Amino acid sequence: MTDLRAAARPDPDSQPFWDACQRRELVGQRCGACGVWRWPPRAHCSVCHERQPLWEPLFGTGTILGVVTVRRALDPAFAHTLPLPIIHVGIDGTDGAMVLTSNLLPGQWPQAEVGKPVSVRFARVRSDLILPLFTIDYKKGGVTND
Amino acid sequence: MSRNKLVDRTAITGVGWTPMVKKSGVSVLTLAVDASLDAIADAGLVPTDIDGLVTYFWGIRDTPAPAQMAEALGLTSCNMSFCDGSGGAWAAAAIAAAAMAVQSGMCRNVLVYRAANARSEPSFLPGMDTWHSGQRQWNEPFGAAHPATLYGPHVSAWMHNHKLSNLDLAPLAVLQRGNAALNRKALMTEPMTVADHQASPWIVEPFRLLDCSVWNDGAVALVVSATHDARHGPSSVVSVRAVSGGTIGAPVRRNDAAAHWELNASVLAPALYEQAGIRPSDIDIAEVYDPFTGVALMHVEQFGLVEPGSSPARIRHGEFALDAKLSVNTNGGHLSEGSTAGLGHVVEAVQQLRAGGVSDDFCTGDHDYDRRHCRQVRDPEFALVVGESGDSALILRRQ
Repeated sequence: MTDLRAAARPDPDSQPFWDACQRRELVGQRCGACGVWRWPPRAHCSVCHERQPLWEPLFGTGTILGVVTVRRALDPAFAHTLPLPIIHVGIDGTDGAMVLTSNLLPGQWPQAEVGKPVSVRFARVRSDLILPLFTIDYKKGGVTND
Repeated sequence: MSRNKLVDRTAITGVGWTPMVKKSGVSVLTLAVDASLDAIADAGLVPTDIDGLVTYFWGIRDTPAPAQMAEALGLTSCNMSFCDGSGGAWAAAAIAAAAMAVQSGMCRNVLVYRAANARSEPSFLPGMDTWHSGQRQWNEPFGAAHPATLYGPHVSAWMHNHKLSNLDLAPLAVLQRGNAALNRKALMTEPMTVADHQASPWIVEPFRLLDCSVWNDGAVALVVSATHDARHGPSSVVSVRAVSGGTIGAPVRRNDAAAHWELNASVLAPALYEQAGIRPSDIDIAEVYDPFTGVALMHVEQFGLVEPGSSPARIRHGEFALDAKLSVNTNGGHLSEGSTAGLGHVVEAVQQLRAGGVSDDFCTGDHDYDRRHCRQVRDPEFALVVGESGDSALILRRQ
């Protein structure tokens, strides 16, 4: 079996995002010239085409745009977290441009629903890997680190 | 706007296929040659008349390479070949490639084929990176690797927007199974009810087992030639009225927060109808890419065939059936006939439009439209074929 989490491997475009996650910070990217937000990260702005990527800290809140719930794990790394909700999160403060694929915290799958507010919870899923996961956030609060 | 020079100038003159099965017991090359020889003969040609080859795959090449096919068929010339990696997004683009080669004069008869032993010899190995470069890191660490986890969030956004549930996906699965039961090459022909659908296990919510397309072995092939050449062939002419293909980032138009269910279809569809000079209401048959029930319904809606969110209720009221004004996935589609990366949808549209109609239902003589054995639609003129996400699509016309 494969370890899907091994795929969290940065490349030159994404390294600052994953580095920030290891510091338990959520960052996004916009154009340093025209200011337009973009995702996934890349060197050039697709609007003005300047090559000035700018990383900005974010509050870490957002809204569920889409959700699926995995009932059968293909990967043993997820076997103890079934059912596993996979969510698309529209990240606040990015003009709708930044949508992350992520998971709700284990046990929250019955509440997984489009439109619900969430906030980031950084989780150490392996000794060398911290991932940005999300928790349902009824108070619409800020970043919660654990 | 300049008139597209392809309109009705090229035609699909021959179609061929193998049965869709769980284990073919033969090589992929054998499957491809079997389907191709049938398609070439159906066009009234011999293999050496073929001078162009088009095929496609997703992730890893599982279909024979053009060089293999040129050798196996004994071609004496091959003026152009394509072997594209865009998968089902390329279903109609493959026809576009062939039509452009013919229209330009580069080729006279182009063979388009797709073969795979996808069920008995799966080509995807654990740990294999089949993503667009750099995209794997944003999905797999969160368990998103199965196609249902990639399409599903967009389908759930559509369902939420229109207050639909999994029960609303059942009627299409049942409809397509009924059509597959009238199709000799289909893999899944056991009768299915809404209750059967609802009793099938969850795979990845919002999809149950019977919302998912099947994995199978099999091949389909077709021949594209100039329309004026086709008039001398053995079959009536089914012309390529309009075709458009490409991608602006499958599966959705923009992967941002606005209209998270909006597929690339929303951009392509209006341009395709304009090219064809017809309206959505002129379409008699729609063969739409159907990896999952919900995606197929989104295709139907986003090609303007019905109002957004209305498709499940329409099927419950008898629409989309073989005798309805608009018939959808008349061969059973990927949900029940079998998966062919969308090329089987093109083959079915051609069969439905040509004089004499489909040749692999259970009619013994002329088509009598008795739905116990006949799957021929009554007198269709225009068929729409939609590739994955509407990344490519075409309109065929009976001449």
